[in-house]
Amino acid sequence: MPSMTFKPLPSCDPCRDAAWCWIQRQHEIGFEDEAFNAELNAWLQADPANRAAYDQAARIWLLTGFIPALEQTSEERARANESGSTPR
Amino acid sequence: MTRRSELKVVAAKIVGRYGLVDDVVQDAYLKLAEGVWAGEIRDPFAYCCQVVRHLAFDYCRRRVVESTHIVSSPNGQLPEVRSDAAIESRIDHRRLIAQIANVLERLPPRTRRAFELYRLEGRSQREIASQLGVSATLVNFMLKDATRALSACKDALDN
Repeated sequence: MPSMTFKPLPSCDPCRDAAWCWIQRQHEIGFEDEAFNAELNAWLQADPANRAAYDQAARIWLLTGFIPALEQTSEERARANESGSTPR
Repeated sequence: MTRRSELKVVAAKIVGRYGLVDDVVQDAYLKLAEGVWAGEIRDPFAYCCQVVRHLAFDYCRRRVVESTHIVSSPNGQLPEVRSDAAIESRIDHRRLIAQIANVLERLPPRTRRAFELYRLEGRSQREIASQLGVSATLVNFMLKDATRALSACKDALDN
């Protein structure tokens, strides 16, 4: 069972959780949204702990980008073939 | 080295307007030379593009969050991205990335795939849901699980 090998940690660090939310939102929104950027910078400047948590999350986030993806799953290939042959 | 110009094109699509293309590609070469990823690489050129792309996004990200550190620059040019060299040099990237890879390997396979589509391919949560044949809510939970597990790598940064 996956539960034997993977247990999501109950996080008890709200600052770290918030930092990861910012990283995720930034990934989705991009870098050109001035209102979002201002909101993010306000949060970063509100507390040095915010900044530290954000920098750590960003470093881990960057490194996840240096790990090659696994192969496409067989399920996805089947799904892609299916949808490819479906007339629109 | 011969495909450097192709890598520059990859970088330029992301950071072009900031004139950081050479910096990004140079940084990518350093990362690749130090063997930041020691595992298997099926397609070396695609992998180089991946590293360049994600470094370029990181340069853009740093620009956003570090512009508030610098009020103005004396010569009127755009502010430079602050150098984190002092911090970076203390970090063992290979060790940290091995730890991150280990975290990803322990995720349930579907959760890992959802994370890859999100992180590496830039898919939206809705797109991932339809690709994996699950609800968008489940995708949101899977991504939360993945980032929460990754956030535990924090300890490696403090040592």
